[in-house]
Amino acid sequence: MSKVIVNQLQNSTGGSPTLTWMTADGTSGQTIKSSDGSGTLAFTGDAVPIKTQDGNETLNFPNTISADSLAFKTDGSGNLSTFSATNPFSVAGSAPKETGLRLCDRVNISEETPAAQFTLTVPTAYTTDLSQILGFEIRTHGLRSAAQTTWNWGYQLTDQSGTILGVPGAERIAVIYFGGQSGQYGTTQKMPSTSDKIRPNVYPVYSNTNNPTTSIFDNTTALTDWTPAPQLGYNKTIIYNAHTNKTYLSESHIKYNSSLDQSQMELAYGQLANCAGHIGGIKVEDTGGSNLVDGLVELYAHFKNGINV
Amino acid sequence: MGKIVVKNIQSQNSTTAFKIPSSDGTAGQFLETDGAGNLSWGGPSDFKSADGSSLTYTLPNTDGTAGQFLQSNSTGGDTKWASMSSPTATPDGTKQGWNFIDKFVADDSGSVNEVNLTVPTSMTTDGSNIIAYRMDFYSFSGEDNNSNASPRISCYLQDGSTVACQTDAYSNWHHWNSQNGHQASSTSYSYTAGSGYRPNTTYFGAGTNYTTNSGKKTFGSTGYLGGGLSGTFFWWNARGNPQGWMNAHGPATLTNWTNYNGMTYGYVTPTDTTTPYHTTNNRTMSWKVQLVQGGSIRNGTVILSGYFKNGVL
Repeated sequence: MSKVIVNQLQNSTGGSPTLTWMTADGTSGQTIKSSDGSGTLAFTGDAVPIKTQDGNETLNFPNTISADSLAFKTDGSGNLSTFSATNPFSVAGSAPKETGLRLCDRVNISEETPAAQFTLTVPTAYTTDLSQILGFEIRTHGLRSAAQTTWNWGYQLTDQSGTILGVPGAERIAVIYFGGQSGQYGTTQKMPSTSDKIRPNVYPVYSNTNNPTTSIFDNTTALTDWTPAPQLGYNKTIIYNAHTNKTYLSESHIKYNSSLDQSQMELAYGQLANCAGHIGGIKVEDTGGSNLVDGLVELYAHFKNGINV
Repeated sequence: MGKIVVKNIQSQNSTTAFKIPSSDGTAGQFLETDGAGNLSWGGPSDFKSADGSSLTYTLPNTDGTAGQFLQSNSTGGDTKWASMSSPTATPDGTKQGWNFIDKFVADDSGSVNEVNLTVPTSMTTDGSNIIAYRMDFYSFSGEDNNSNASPRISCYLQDGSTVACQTDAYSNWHHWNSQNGHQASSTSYSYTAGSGYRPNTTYFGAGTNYTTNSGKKTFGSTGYLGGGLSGTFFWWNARGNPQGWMNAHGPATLTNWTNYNGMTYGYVTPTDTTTPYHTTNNRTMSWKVQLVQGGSIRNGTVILSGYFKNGVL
């Protein structure tokens, strides 16, 4: 094997430094460095500084790691440490994995162009097998339609692409309502003809011809007629995601007329018979077709155990 | 250009011949030995801990998928990519939902006269970033034994001392209990500090100081008989016309709480048609919960959570 025995090497280009070659090998993994700035090469085990991409900052990794699955965080001065990245809605160490609530989708209608419907779906990154989802939770705050008269809201059930589920079938709804101007409370039942949507309100939601047709969330002025403003204040709907015979419970706080005391809470229990297909999403709408202009709508899901989300 | 083509280089003062690499490395690589005189290009895929010796870190062989975080794969310095998104964020991390903000826990060691729940500045300093709030009460109660032991809820700016509103709010509430059946009323609340929304003006005492069957003890004592307000207050944080709704359960006033146990439902909103509810400075970013009569809060938990605009957290 060819070999040259020499103490020093120098590039033939004029002015190049003379490099004095090492006289002994280093240990495995050691690198060659200039030891004195005068061309003397030596092996070193010194840590190679880990630089940021621009080369301006050095990152210092911890000297010890205490456990698996710890994430790295910075102190802003290049010193990294670890922290536990456990999911607060999963049971640590459970087998099969037990997971709680997960956000699927949300829309802040107040920031969107008004539209008659807004669709929220289950991300495919979670699953494409919708039978893995036991139930859904829809949370709605401050929902308001551009309707200039009373209106009704509803959630249509869809597949994961946003296509409406189900063959029209029977929907049975039992509603308990509390509140109102005269303190009305009572129960009622409804049996609409289709079962592809949830329509739990007893009284239509109040609005009038002074109702703004754009978002009021950031208005810096008061409404000249405050009465159309607080429409569907809050709704929480939980749905059991059975393939065909779905059930739901919905709690709503709405204003059904103009006076301050004409607001009430409604609890609705519904059964959707023959609404075939596991739910992959919802469409929130004013069933009369007017645009929705304000409100936050969120879709959460609860998965079966063992599903890695 | 002068050149010597050779496989090994050995110092005259040494018996160790170093075999040089037969090809160039990639940019940023350096020469390292295997301890047997063979030089090769070393990549930055492994590196030492800050002290230069304790741990040798190795990076994963390939990049992770978008949004994944670098995590330890053991205690030995090897690493992996893993997803770590919040359960209340979508998998791609672009949308963030329900989020914890602050909480108060009363205990038996003492009592306070007010609860302050505030959005940390690390989350945001812009109240318009908070679309809605949720305040959960668990067995919230005070020392007194009448309707003025009911909680009142007030809006403040993030400093916790400046009121966030500049107009009055109006409320309508309903209450049901087995003794009195249904009761209802409407009332207004001054926006000045010291007022604040209360879910029920007559039949809703969150306070009780019972010690027997007609009484209640604090959380840590034996013979706890329950009582206190449990429920949720929701608030849509619009600038000009916000609104709040409350649904709560608990004992009414008086000593025989079994007859007065009931439900309250209430709604609060500003009705001023000339002045927006929130001041021009900001919107509600802090909440103060007190007892109407100003007495001590003895028991229970209050949890504040919120719904922020995407990208804020």
